[in-house]
Amino acid sequence: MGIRLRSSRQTLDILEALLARPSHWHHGYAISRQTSVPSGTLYPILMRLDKLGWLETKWEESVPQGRPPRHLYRLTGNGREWARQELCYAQQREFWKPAASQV
Amino acid sequence: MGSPQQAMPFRLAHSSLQLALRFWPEETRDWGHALAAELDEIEKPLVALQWAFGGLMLFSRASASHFLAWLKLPAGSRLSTAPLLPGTSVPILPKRSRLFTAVILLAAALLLFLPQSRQAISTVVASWNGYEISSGDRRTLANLAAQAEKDKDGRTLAFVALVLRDPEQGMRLADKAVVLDPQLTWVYASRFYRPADVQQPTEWLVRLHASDPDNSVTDLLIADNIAQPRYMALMALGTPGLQQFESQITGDPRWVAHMEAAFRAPRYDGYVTKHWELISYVWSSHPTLSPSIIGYELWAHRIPNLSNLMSFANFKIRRAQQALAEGHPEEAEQILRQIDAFGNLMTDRAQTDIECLIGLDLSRKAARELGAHYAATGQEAAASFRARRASENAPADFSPSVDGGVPDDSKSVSRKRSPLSGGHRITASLGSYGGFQSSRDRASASLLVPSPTGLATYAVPRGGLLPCVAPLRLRWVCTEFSSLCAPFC
Repeated sequence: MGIRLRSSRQTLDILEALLARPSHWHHGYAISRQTSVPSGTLYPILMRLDKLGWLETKWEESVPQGRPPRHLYRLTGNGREWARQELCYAQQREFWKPAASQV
Repeated sequence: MGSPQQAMPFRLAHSSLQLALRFWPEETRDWGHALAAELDEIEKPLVALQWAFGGLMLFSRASASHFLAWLKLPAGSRLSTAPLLPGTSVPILPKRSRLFTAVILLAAALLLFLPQSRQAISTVVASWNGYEISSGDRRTLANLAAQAEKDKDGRTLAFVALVLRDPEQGMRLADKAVVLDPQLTWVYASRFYRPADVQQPTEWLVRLHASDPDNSVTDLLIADNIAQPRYMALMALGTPGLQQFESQITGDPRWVAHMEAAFRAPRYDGYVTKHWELISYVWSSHPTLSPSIIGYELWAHRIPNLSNLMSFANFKIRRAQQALAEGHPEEAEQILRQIDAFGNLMTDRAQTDIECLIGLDLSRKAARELGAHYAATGQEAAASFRARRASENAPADFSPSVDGGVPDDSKSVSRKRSPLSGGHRITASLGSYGGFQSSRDRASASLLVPSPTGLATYAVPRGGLLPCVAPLRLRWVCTEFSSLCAPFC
């Protein structure tokens, strides 16, 4: 059975955060702070994005001693394309608004 | 003073996530590590705890899907990514043994021994079969009757007698129930018509009348019984007109006498409440009874025949008109007042909306005629009062029409609480004389509806007598709890 990703508001917020700086590697906690999505919701979404092949992940390479390496995320090329479409479609349906317009 | 990371909430968050990571399923463990690694970036203790709580939720989801994957394994195999018990090489989830599969199957089979489980299954099956009484239900009823006879439980016997379709057995059990508990004589009223094509003992009605002589319903049932053969004979020739039926039936002095007695009786009780109490008693004593049995019994009650009531009211009105023409205005007024009084009694004491509407219509007829009578005799104030009453008793939806009798829900009339409904509002509508439709908006109440055969209630259009021939298709019990009666006529 294929993986399905429901475009919930939280998913769209996360995609928006990842798209804000598409080539930048993001940390989980930074995404959570930016989007106010709690860890229990954030990681299942990231896991699904990863399984769908829309998320690139890697472990931090240079780590200060005594601290575990952190996991880093950014959208793949296909992922960015898909994310833009999803955000655009959600805006058209007035289902979701970008964070900037909400402020 | 230590660093904030050494405060109790941080340590709690760290240790809970580390513990979860030891048991985290292999396939998603990296994500657990990723989540735990972020803890060092958090500065506020409460946020750290929230973060760790989210991690534990993620762990529980991962463990659940891991367990589900394990359940789906073929017997004798194990998950390749099974997490090990800490400090050992023993996987937390063992091989899927055949014994485990057998135990699960046995447990599932044992569930069938629970009456509640069987009832749940039979509810689904009954909904497929339109709540028809099955052979299993018949066995249940036979056992119920045998036990009731042994226990001398008249009420349960009466219940079974009403449900059974076998006329001989039903009649035998009804008689036994009444012998055990004479207060159950009312059961004859309901059982009498089941099925309509089988001759029921007429002495039942005599006994019923003797046990409840002040109740107009007992006389109405006897009158129904007298009218039945005439009506069936007319039906054999095609759909009879109301006038044709009236002309035949009003020539029968026995019928007239019983209808007269019914219109003079001080009480009106259709036994609906008693019937409902009987069902409640049996259902509470046997809570796992099949929904088909309860469903069948819930709707199967009889109310007096509308055509008889209308025919007799018309007959009386004609007599009043004749009396007035012959110069006896007091007699004419008395006759019309009698119709009005009976209509009011029926409206007030009705336990179903249909009966209430019939009563209202009788009162309206009488008020209209009384208004005309007072106008003809020069009593203007009384005429105006009666005309007002006639209009009050005849809401827009209640006036006769010749539109073919299509019931119209938009014209529904709601009435006072029904005593059998336990507070649930029952609504009914009489879209025209051509049809009735009744519905409930809540569960657990019964509304009585006429039988499709025999002398029950008929929808009476202006120009003829249309029997309610379409059988009621009741599929509502235990499922929708919304609609009681399918439209008929």
